[in-house]
Amino acid sequence: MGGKPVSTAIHFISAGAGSGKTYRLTQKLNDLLSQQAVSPAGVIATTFTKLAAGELQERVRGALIDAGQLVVANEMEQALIGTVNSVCGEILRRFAFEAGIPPDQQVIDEDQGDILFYRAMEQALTGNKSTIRKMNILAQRLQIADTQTKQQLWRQEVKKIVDTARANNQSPDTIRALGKSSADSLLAYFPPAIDRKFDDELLGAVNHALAAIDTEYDKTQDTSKFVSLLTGARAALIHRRLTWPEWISLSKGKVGAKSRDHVAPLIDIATQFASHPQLHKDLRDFTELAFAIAADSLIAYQEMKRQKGLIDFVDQEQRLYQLLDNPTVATTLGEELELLMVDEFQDTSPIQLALFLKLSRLADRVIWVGDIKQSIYGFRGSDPSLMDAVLRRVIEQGNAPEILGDSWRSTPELVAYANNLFVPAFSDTLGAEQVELNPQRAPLPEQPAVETWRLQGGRKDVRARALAGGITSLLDSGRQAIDKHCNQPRPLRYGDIAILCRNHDNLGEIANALADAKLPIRYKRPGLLSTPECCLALACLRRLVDPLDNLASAEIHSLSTCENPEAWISQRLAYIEAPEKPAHSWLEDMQGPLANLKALRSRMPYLTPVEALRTAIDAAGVRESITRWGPTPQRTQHRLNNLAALLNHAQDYLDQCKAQSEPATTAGLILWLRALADAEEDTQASGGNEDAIQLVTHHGAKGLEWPIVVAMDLCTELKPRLWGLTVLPSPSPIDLDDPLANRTLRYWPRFFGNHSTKVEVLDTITESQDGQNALEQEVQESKRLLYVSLTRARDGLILCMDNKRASGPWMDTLQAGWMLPDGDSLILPDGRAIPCRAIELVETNNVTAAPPYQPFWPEFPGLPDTLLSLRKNPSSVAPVESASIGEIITLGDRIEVNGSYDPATLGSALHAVIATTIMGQQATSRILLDYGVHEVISIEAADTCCRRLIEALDDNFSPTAFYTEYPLTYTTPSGQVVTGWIDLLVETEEGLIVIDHKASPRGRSEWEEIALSYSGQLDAYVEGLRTCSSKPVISKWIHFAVSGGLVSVI
Amino acid sequence: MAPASGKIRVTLGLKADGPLPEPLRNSLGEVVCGPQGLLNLLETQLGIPGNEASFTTRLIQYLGCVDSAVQPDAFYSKSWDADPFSVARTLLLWRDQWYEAGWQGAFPVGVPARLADLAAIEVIARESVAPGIGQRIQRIIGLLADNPIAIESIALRDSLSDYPWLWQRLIEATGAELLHLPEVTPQADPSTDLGKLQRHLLNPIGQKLELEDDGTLVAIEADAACDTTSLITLLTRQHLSGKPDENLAILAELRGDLLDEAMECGGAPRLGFSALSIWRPVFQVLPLACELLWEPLNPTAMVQFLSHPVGPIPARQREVLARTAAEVPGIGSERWQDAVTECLEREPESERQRFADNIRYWLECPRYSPQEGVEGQVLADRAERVARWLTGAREACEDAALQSLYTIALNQAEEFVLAIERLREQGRNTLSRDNVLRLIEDVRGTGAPVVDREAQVCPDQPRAYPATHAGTFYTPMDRVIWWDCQAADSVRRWPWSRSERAALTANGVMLQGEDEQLSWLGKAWVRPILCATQQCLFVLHGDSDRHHPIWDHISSVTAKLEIAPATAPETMARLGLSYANMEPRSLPPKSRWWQLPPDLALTDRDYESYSSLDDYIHSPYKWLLKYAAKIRPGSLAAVNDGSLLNGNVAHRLYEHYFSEHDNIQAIDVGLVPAWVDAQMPTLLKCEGALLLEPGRQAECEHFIIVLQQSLVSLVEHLQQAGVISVSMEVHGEGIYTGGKLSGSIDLLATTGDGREAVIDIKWGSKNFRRDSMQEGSYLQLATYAQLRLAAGAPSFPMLSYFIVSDSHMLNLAHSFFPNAEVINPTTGENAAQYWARFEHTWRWRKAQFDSGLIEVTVNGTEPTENSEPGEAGLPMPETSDKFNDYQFITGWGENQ
Ligand code: SF4
Repeated sequence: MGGKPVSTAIHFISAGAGSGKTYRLTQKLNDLLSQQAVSPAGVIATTFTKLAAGELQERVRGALIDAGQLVVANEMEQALIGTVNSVCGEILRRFAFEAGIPPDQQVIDEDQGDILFYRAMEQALTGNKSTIRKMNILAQRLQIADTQTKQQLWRQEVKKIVDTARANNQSPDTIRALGKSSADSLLAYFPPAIDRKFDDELLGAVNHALAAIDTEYDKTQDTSKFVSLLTGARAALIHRRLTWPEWISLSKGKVGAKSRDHVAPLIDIATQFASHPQLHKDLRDFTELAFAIAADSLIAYQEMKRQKGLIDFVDQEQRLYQLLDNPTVATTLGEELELLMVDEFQDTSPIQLALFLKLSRLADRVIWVGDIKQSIYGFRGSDPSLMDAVLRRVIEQGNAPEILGDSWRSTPELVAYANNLFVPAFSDTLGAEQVELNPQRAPLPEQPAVETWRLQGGRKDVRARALAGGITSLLDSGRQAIDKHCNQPRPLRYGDIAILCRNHDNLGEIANALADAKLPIRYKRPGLLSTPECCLALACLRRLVDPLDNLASAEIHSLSTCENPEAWISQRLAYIEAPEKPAHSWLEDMQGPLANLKALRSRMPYLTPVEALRTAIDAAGVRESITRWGPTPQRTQHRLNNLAALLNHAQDYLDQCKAQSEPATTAGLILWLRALADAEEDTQASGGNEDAIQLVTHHGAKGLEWPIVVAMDLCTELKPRLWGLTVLPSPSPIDLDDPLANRTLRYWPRFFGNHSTKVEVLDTITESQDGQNALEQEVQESKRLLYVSLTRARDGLILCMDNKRASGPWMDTLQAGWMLPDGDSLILPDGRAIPCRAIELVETNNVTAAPPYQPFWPEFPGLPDTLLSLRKNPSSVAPVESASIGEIITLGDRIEVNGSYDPATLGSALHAVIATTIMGQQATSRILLDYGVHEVISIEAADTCCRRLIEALDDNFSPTAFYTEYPLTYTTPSGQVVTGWIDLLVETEEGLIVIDHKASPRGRSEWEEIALSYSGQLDAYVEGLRTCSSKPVISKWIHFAVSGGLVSVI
Repeated sequence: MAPASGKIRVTLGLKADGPLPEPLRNSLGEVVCGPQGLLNLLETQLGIPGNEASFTTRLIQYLGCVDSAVQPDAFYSKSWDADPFSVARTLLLWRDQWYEAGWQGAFPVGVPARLADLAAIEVIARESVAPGIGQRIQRIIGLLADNPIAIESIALRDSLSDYPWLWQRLIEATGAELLHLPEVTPQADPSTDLGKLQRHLLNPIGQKLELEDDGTLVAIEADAACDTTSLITLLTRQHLSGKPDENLAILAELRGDLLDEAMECGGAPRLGFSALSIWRPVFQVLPLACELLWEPLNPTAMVQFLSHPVGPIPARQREVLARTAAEVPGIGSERWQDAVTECLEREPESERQRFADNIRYWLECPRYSPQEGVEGQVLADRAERVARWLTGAREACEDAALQSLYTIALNQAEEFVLAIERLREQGRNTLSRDNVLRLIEDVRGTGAPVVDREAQVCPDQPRAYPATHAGTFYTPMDRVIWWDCQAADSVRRWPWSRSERAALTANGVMLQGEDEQLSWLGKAWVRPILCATQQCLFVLHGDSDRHHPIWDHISSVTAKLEIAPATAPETMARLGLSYANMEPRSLPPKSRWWQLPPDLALTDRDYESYSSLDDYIHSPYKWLLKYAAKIRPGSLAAVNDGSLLNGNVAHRLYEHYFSEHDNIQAIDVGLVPAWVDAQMPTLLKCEGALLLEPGRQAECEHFIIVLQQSLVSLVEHLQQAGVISVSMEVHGEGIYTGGKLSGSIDLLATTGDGREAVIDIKWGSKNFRRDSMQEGSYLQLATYAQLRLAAGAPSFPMLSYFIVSDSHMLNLAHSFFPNAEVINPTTGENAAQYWARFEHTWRWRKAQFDSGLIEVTVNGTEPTENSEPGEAGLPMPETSDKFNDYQFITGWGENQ
C-alpha cells in the first residue's frame, strides 16, 4: 500500500517566539477532540521534551474538562503523547514482531549507547592491533588529542562520523566510501607533495640551531622554551614522531632576537610542511581509516545491540522508518491514526524528519508546529537547510502555512525592537510576514525596554563583578515585573532574571561573581560531588561500605559538627594514642552519625545501592546538618536539591546496570559516581523552583522566557564548521519520498593543533568556496541563535558589552549597527522610539545583605519505646508455658502412608480432603492427584481420616455446625492485627470447639509434646474467638489425622 | 441430622488485594479481598493446591513449546531468532491474557495469522505449561458446577461490570448472593471546600469552583519526593498523637518505600510500603561470580565481588583481597600472592587448603572469551556452588528475613542451572557473555522487597492506614493524604488490530476494553477525595513525570487552589506542624593556620621518606592528617587508574627489562618494541587490568607504544652516557637534620668509570618538572642523592627526571645524558646548597609543629608572614593541594 500522497494533509503552524504556540496547540487539539473529529486513542503527538509532553497532556485534559468533556478527558490517557523517542518506542514495541525484533527490547539512552558503541568499536578492531596502532600513531602526529589530558580523540572522531551518518540514515557501505572523497577534497587545497627528504633536512637544521643557540647569551623566555621544543623535536624527528602542530610551531620559530639567525634555515624548511608527502599521506590515511573503522564499528555496534536485545534512539527511528513500509503496519496504523502532531519540528534530525514525512501519510490529519527561525541545533545534527527544502516542497504543493502573527510574550516595545532587528536580518530567506509579530500586551512605557550595560574592566572576572553590581542595583532600583499570571506589576524577584552566555566557562565566571555578591543563582553545572552536602552524603555511604575508611569518619564528623579542625584533630590524636581501640572505630562509640552508621551496617545485605545511600543519609542526619549550614534559605534549598540530584545520579547507575544487564552494588555505585565526577558529568540540581537568577547558555534558553533577560557574549567569534565532520547540503530539489537520498558527509582532520593564523594552507582553505559556504552557514545559524536569545525577554532586555567594544562578529551578523541603545530612547529604523537606557558599570564590592540565617527543623516527639510489627501470625505465636494436655480421643489406627513424600504436602492434601468433605464435595480422588500424593495415600485412607474425625466429633460433642478453613481477624489490645484461618471450628449448643489438623506421622507417644508446641497458636485463635463471637470456646484440640487422635490442649 | 456447614461472607474490591485504608474489623467468617484473594479462597475451598508455579518456571516451560512449534513463517519467527526468551515471555503473557478473557486454548481455522500461530503453540503448551490465572479460573468455574462451597455472599465494592469478563463469570459461578455495595459518596460537609469539590467531581456544575481556602483542601509541592517524606512523618506522628480519634489514610501509589524509610528515621511506625528490587545484594552474587569468568579479568567486578556485603569468600578474607585488588588492579602480581598468603595465614592450619582452593575457584579461575563463550557446565558449576554457599549461609543465619532473601537467591541460582540444562538439551552448549547476562536477567524475575522491614504499630496507639491505589478507598477517613500524586496507572493497550480483536471476540476471548478500564479508573481516582471528611492533602513533586490525572482535573475545575511550597515555614504553620529553630552552624571555613594545643607532642616517626618530608615542609596539614592522625581513605578510593596506574606499570616494566638486560651497552634498541609487546599481556593482567577493560583497547595500545618509545629512548640515553649498569628500586637509608631517611631510588645508572646518575621516573607533567627544576625545587631527587651519599657513593650523583609519556629526559644542570634537555636552576645553586636550604626549612617547620602551629596551604587561603621560612629557606609555593585527599576536611569557601 502506497499510503496517501505525501503531505496533502500537512497543516503547518509557523510559531514565532512568544506567539502562543502551546495555547494554539491546546486549542487545536481541544477543538478536534471536543467535536469528536478525532478520538484520543487516534492521536499521536511528539514534543521535544518529556516535560512538554506532560504539559500538553495536562493542558488538553484541562481544556476538555472545562468544556465539560469528562469522558474524553479521561480517555486522553490513551493518546500517545511523548518525545519523538518515546513515541517511536511505543509504536515499535507494538509492532516488534513485524519488525523482527525482540518484543521487550531495552531502550538505551545516549550515555548507555556511547559506552556500548565504544565496546563495539573495540570488538570491530579486535585482532586488528595494527589498525589501532596505526590510528594511534596518526592521531599522535596529527594531534587529534585532548589538549589537557593528551588523550587521543580518534575514537571520538569515529563516533561522530557514525552518529552523523546514522542521523542521516546512511549505511555502513556508504560510510566506507566517504573517506576517500573527504581526503580528496581536502588535499585539493594543498600544494602538491614534493619528493624531498624533509625530515632529514629539518633534523639537520634543528641540530644546527641547538648547537648554535647559546642560552647563556640569549636568556629570553622565548628562546629557552624554543630550545626545549627543539630538544623534544630532535628526539621526535629521529624516531619519526614529530607532530604536525610541532612542525608548524617550528615554522613560527619564536626566539629572542639574538638567536634569530640560528633558526632561519629551520624556519625555511618547516614552513614548507604542507608539501611534505608524509602529511598528505597522514591526512589521507587518517581520513580513510576513520571512515573504514566507522563502517566496521557501526556493523559491530548493531550486532552487539542485537545480541543484547538493546535498541537506541536512532535505531528506533530507523527501524520505524523501515517498518512503515510493512503492509500490516501501514494498514493498522492507517486505521487507527487520526491525528499526527509534531511539535518543534525545526529541531528534528534528518532521519526524524524523514520519519515524520512517512508517518504523515498514514494519518487523517497532520499538524506540524515550529519555527525555522529557531532552529539552532545544527551543532548536534539538525539541518535547517534540509528542513527548509522540505517545507518549501510541501508548501509548493498547496499547503498554505498558518502563521501565528501575534506576540503574547513581550511588551510592544520589545516586539517592535525584535521586528526591526529580524525582519531585515531574515529577509534573505523569509518574508516579513513570517517574521513580524503584532504585540498583544499592554505597553510598559515607564521602564526601559532595551538597555546597554557596558562592563568596565580588562579581565573577565572584573567585568563579571561589574555585572553583579549592575544586577544588585537593578533589584534594588524598585524595578517592576509584570506578573505572567495576573498581568499586574509586582517587584522584581531574583527568579525573574536570566543571564545568557555563549558557553559554560563564561557562565561559571558570572556565577562566581554573583555568588560573591550573595545573589542567589541557579544553573546547570557539574561539581555535585564536591559540594559539601554530597561530600557528606557520600562519606556516609563509603563509611557504610568500608569500616576502615576513617577519612570518611573525619568528613562526616567535620561536616556534621562543623567543629574547627583543631578540635577534632586533637581528639583524634589523643584517640589513636590509646592502643586498645582500633584506629578505624574512632567516634563509633559516641552517640552520633558514626554510631548510627555502624548500626546500619548490619542491614547492608538487604539494601540496594540507592536504598543504602538513602538510609545512610537518613541515619547520619545529613539533611539536618545541611539545613544548619545555610547561609541563606535559598542555599539550603539548593543543597537539599543537590541531595536529590545525587540520588537521581545513583538511580542512573542502576538504570545503566539494568541496560547492560550487569550486576549493581554499592561499591560499584561509589566507583561510578567517582568516574562521573572525573568526567565532570556530576551535574548539580538545576534548581527549577528556586527563586534565583538563572544562568543559562543562549542555546539552553530556547523555549523559556523571563521578565528580564541579560544577553552576554554578543561579540563572540564565528566558528564556521569547516574542520572535522560536516554534512554537505542535500541535492535539490528534495524528493519528499526519500528526503535523505544522496546526503554526503565530509571529514577533514584538524591537524594544526592550536595554530589558526599565519598558516598559509589554512588561509587558502578559509578563503575557498568550501570555506565561504561554511561561513555562510555559520552566519545563518548565528542569526537564528540571536533571534532565540533576544526574544526571551518579557519586559526588559539587557545587552552587555565589554566597555571597549562597540560590536563584534556574532551581533554583526544582524547588520544592525543601531541595535545598542546609548541613551534614554532608541529610534528604531521604522521610526518608532522605545524607552531605553545605557549605563556603564564598574567593579563593585556590593554585597546583597542577607538577614541572619535561622534554620528550623521538625520537632519530632520523643521516640516511642517499642514498635511492634503490625501483623501477628498465629502460627508463629510461642507455645504457652502453662499449657497442658487434657482429654485424648483415639480415632483409630494409623492410616497407611507409603513411600517417600513431603509431609507438608501430605498435610495440605489431608486438610483439603477434610474441608471439602465437610462442605459436601466428593473430591478426595481429585485432591490426592492434584497434590501428587495419590501413591502415598489411598482414597479410602484419606476418606477414613476425615470420616473418623467427624464421627468422633458427632459422638463426643453433638455439633450443630462445622466451619472449615474459617477466617478470623482481630486486633489485639496492643494494636497488632491477627489474621488466621481456623482449620475447623465446631459449633455446639454449649459453645465453640477449635481444631487444628496435623498430618504428623509420628506415633501417639509424641502427641502430647507436639500438641503442646501448638498451644500458642490455639490460644491466639481462642483469643480471637472471644473477641469476635458471643459464644464461649469450650475446648481446643489438635487432630492427628494420620496417627488417629484428637488431643485436647488446656 | 448432619451439622450445617458454616459459610463465609466475602467483600470484594478490584484493588483490595493490597493494603486497605480502613480500620480492620474484628470478624469471624468474613473476608475482605481482591480478585487474587477470592481466587485463593475458592481454590482452598475446592481443595486445589495453592502453590503456583513461578513465572520464570512457566516461561522456561513455554519456551520449550515455542521451540518445538516455531515455523519459519510464524509471525514471531524473526524475533524468535533474535531473542527466544523475550519472544516466549511476550507470547506467554498474551496467551495468559487470552485465557483470562475466556479462551479455551484453540481456534477454528480461518482466524488471522497471529492467532493461528499462537494456537499452534498451544497444542503443546496446554499440557506442558503450568496453568496461569486464566486457566485456574476456568478450572474453578468448571468445578463449581458440582462442588458445593461455603461462601454465603459476595459484597461488591466495584460493580460486576468493572471486572474483566472471565472474572465476572467466576463471581457468578460461586452461586453466592451478590450484594452490590453503593459507590462511595461525598463524605465532607458540603459547605467546605472539600465538600464542594467532592460534589463537583461527581456532578460538574459547569463553572469553576470558588474555594475559600478553609484548610479542608490543601496542596503542597516540593522539588523532589525525598523533600516531603519527613514532613509527612511529622504530620502523621502529630496527627496520631494529637487526634487519636480521627482516622488518617496515606495514599502512595508509587515510591511509598521512601515514606517508610522516613517514618523509620523519624521514629514513627512503618506503614508497610515496600519496593520490589532486583538489586538486593544477595542477588548480585551470582552475576558477579559469572562476571569473573571472562577474559580479560574485569577488575571493577572483582573489587565489587570482594567488597560486597555477602559472598562465598569469608568477609575477613575479602577485606584484605579487596584492598589489594583496588591498589593493584589485576591478579597474579606479587602483591596479590602476598595478600592471599596473608589471608590464609590467619586461618587454622587445617582449613588453609580449603580456603586457598576457594579463593582460587572464584578468582583465579580459567577465563573465557566473552564472545566465544563458556561451556554451560562451567556456568552450572558456578551457579551450583553459589547455591551451596547460599544454602549454608541460610542455615547459618538466624534472621528469618535474611533467610527469606537467601531462599529467593537460591531459587534464582537453581532456575539458572535448570535454564542452562534446558539450553543444553536444545543443543546450545556454550553461552556467550551476553547470553549469560540475559539468562540471569530472565531468572531474576521482579526482585524482592526490603524483607527486614514490615508494617508496624506503636502499642496502644492508633495507626495510619496506608493505601497503594486510589481505588482501595471505601471507608470515610477524617484525613486523607495523597502523597506523590503522579500518574501511576497505565491502561493496557491491546496489541491486536481491529480484525484480530473481532476474531478473538468471535471465539470467546472477551478482552476488557481500554474504555472500560478507563471508566473504572475515572471512578477509582475520586474515591480518596470522596472518602475524606475533614481534610484532603495533596503532595506533589517536581521530580515526577506527570501529575496524576485527578490533579489535572481538580486544578482545572477549581479557582484559586494554591499550591503551597512544602518546605516553607508558612506551609508548616498552616498544617499545624511544629518546627523548632535550630542553631545555625557555618561550614568550617578555610583557615591558613591551625593551632593545636602546644602540649600535644607529635610522636616522631622512625623514618621519613621523600613524600612524607615533602608533605612536612610544603603541606604540613597533610603530614599531620596522614602521618600523625593516621586518617586514610578506604579501599574504594584506592582504585588506581590514570597516571598513577600508568606510572606503576611503566616502573614495573622497566624494572623487568633491566633485570633481564644487564649489559646496557650491548642492548639492541631495535629489539625493545618486540620485547615490550611480549611482556605487556602478562604485566597488564597482573597489575594493570583496568587498561584491559572493554572500551580501552586503543588507550591500552597507545600506552604500549608510549612504553616502547620511552624504553627505547631511555636505553639510548643510558647508552649515550656510557652507562654500564642499571639498578632499579634501590632501597637506601640516610640521615637528615631531623632523623633518619629511607626510600627507594627509581633508577640508578652507573658508568664504566663509576659516575652515577639518579633518575626519577615520572609518568607525565613534563612542564611542571621542568619549571620546578628551573626554580630550584627538586626535593625528591635531592633526597635520593642523600641516600646515595649515605650508601657511600664516591661523588654527588647526577640527578635527572625521565618523563615516560614524552620520552623526555631532564638533566639537572649536568650533561651526563648528552642528548637530554639541561635545566639550570635560576638560583644558580647546586644540589648540596639546595639540601642545606631544605634542612633549614625543615627545622623551621619543626619549630612550628612543636608549637602546635600547622600551616594549611590549601587553595583559597593566603600565606601570612609565618609562611615564610626566611632567606636561608626554600621558596614556598603559595598553595599545595594537588592530589589532596583531605580537601573536604580542610575547610570550605564562602560560596561552597
Ligand atoms: S504570582 Fe503573585 S502576582 Fe502572579 S498571579 Fe500569583 S499572586 Fe498574582
